[in-house]
Amino acid sequence: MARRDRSGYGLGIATFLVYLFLYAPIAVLVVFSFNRSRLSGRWRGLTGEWYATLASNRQIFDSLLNSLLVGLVVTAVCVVLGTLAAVALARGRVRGQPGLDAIIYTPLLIPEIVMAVALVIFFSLLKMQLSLTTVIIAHTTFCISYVIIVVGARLAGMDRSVEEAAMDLGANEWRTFLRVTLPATAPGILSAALLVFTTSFDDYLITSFVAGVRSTTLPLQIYSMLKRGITPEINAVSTIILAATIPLVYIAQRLERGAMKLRTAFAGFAFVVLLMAAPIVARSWSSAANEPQLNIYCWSTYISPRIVRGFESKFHCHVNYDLYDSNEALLAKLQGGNVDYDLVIPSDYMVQILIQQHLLARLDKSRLPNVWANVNPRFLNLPFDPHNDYSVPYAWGTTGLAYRADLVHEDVTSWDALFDPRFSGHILLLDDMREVFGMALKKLGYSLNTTNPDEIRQARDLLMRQKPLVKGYNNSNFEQDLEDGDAWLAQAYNGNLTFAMRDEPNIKYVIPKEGCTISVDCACIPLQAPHKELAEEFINYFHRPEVAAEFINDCGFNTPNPAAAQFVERWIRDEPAIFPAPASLDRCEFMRDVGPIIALYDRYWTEIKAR
Amino acid sequence: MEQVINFFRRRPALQTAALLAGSLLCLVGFFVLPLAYLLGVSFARRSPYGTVEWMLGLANYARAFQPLYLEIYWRSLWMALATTALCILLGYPVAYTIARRVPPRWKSALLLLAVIPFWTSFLIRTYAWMVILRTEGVANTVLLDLHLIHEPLRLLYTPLAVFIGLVYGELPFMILPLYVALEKIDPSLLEAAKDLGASGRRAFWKVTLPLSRAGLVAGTILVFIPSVGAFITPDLLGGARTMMVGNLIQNQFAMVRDQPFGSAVAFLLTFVVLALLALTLRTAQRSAREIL
Repeated sequence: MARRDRSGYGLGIATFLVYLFLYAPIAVLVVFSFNRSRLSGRWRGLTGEWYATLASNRQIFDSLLNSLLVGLVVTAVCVVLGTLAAVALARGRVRGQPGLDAIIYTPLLIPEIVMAVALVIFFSLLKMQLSLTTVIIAHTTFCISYVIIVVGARLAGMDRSVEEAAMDLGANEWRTFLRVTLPATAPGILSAALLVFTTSFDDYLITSFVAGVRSTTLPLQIYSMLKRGITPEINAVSTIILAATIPLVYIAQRLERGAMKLRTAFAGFAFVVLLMAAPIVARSWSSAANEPQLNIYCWSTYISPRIVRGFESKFHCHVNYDLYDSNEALLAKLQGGNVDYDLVIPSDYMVQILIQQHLLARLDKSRLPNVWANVNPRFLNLPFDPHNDYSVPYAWGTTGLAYRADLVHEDVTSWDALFDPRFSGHILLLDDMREVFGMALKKLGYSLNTTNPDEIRQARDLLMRQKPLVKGYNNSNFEQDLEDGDAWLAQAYNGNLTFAMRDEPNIKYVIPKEGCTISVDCACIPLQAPHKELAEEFINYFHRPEVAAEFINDCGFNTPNPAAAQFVERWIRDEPAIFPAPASLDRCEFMRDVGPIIALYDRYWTEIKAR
Repeated sequence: MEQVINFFRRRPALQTAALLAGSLLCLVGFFVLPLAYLLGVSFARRSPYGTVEWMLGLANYARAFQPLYLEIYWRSLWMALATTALCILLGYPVAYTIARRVPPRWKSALLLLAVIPFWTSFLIRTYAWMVILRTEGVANTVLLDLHLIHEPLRLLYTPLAVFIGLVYGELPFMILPLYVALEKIDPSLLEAAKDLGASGRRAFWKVTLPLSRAGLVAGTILVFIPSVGAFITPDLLGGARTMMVGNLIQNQFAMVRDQPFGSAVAFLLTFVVLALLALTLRTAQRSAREIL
């Protein structure tokens, strides 16, 4: 008996520790949602302001509603279909069982990106408009297997004699299923439902490919916000979601105790769903009104709510925007041809690809007077679109070298610092193949668009030798590593550093003397855009000096519109990382699509990363 | 209703088909078909513009077997295996406690509590781990304050951080199926074992563990498979210094725009893992038969 008690203690402690493990990061994010610092690496005092800014953020609430709706519908569909299938598989002698098993297991196995690409191609073949419906279909497809597997595990080896007894006592199959099989399977169904909801609610990659106009879900929204550094605002969203789950735990507990009837719980649940669905339905009705719509698909860091509101009130229209964080996601969607975006913001080399694939509409230049009046000629008539027939520059930046002046103790002017053994273990590179090779090629004195295999090989050898010094490759939150002093030197996109440099003045940024990448992201109109004229109006509006300045102030990236500078907040205007000396830009080079030789880059990149 | 039931009662095969119809429609319609298209792509080749050129051949598969790539597959499989083992080690006691030790009225609540952390975004959780594991992070601060260590440990961008992240992300997928299987075991079987003189430990090895096999298998599948393809966690917590097979595939689709080679690697991976699973399942079944 004593033995049993001891093992009981052991189990209890182990369980407690695992729960501690599960909640450790949760505690961190809740605490940091009250942090005064914008980049939440360090504690800078208590504040509730993030919850206040959140309350006025329409975009977040819309995306939360979308996510809840998708999650609940997907859970309901998956649970019903999956349970039925599990019952059939457990009972019936199914012919071709191994084949079925393969079909059931493969969705878990196929890398998400593959499934995402397959689905996008498929939806476009079926001419299905990308929308919340396609998101729901995609989620159902990859979640249904969870139900079949988990419920199947419950049914496996279940004692069938009880069911037979029920039948002998005169219950028909249906009654037996409802009264005997289903209750016995309930824990399995509950577990499966939890898994499905969790998976759907948290899915980013597939959703980002199959979502269409106005179907941004919470993970998509959060990812886009993260690109500006993990602000406490995001932690605040998570904290609110967590707080909202407390009643759920309470209900579950009451249910188990029998203090609440299943029917009551279900009715309450249905009520909540209706309550949540109402604003979505209302929104789709209101948008059906005659107000013109503009659908923007842009970089997650490139939208300022102020500009959107300003445009809406001036042009009496409604602006919807969805966000991406890779040019390739944009390409995939435009290739599909089944999504109605009016305005997209691809990067320079992607503009070239989009033009080649005939996915862009010609711009009516006469409707864009602000562009021709205000945009710096340096950014016009560039090789990827020699006459600006299809694209207008929107924002620009450089990929240079950031460092902590207080840790490095010297002025850095050259890429050589990234190869200096004194800084070993404190060097960070971007996790971006072209940028890393571009850096090495520039250091060697070559073009970063070289197609000469010998030069590319020299760059590889250089990077191979450098690898032992490198702490890591990071292109999502390198600014945090710098701010926290985990990295002393980092290859960096300048725009991502803007707000980090305000918080930590010791972060410096240089365009190395060997040169680096300069990139420009452009406003383009897809070929089948339904509201082309409104999109042109938006581009023209954006290039008003005071509007372009709002973009710089809110997003931290520079625009190719020098007239904006006078309206930019002083601390940004004085920051050479964002407003560099024009002469330093002469050392920079635009990145271009290098064609088939990319395969060689990829091979070498794999070699560098393989060991 | 009665007519429907009678109709199906006489045709059991049709009944099975009807039950399976919804799931199959979904899986075949929106999974198998799109995937079949990509299977075709995996035999094609990349055009100079990064689109698919329908010149069919086995070149992609031959390339996927080069030693450079084998090294990457091996590392991914090994990490997935270790993650699965750690998940079983951590998940089993939890599932066992919830299923068999706590009062029934707390079961659902505890189960929910195990899942709720995952209703925050995956990336936010990973970033929270980064805050914990940094040189000046929460973990080091606590350890230093407790005088357990004298200088900060390097935690972030290490294999340890990668395992913490992977196990953290997959743990509920082990706990839930295990709970489902353990909850089902008839307590009288354990009492019978005790009455026949088995020690607690022996009863566990001879009765509980074999009877929870279905859950163990389901959990292993749910954890092992996604771990093989995982790459965002290794990238963020491990510093992306080494490539996983997930990175390799992702790069082909995103950066290089070589869909044919990316598809070939993906299908190769799928095939190998399915074969491994089939093998494991068969051995598991055989050993289970021996025990019984």
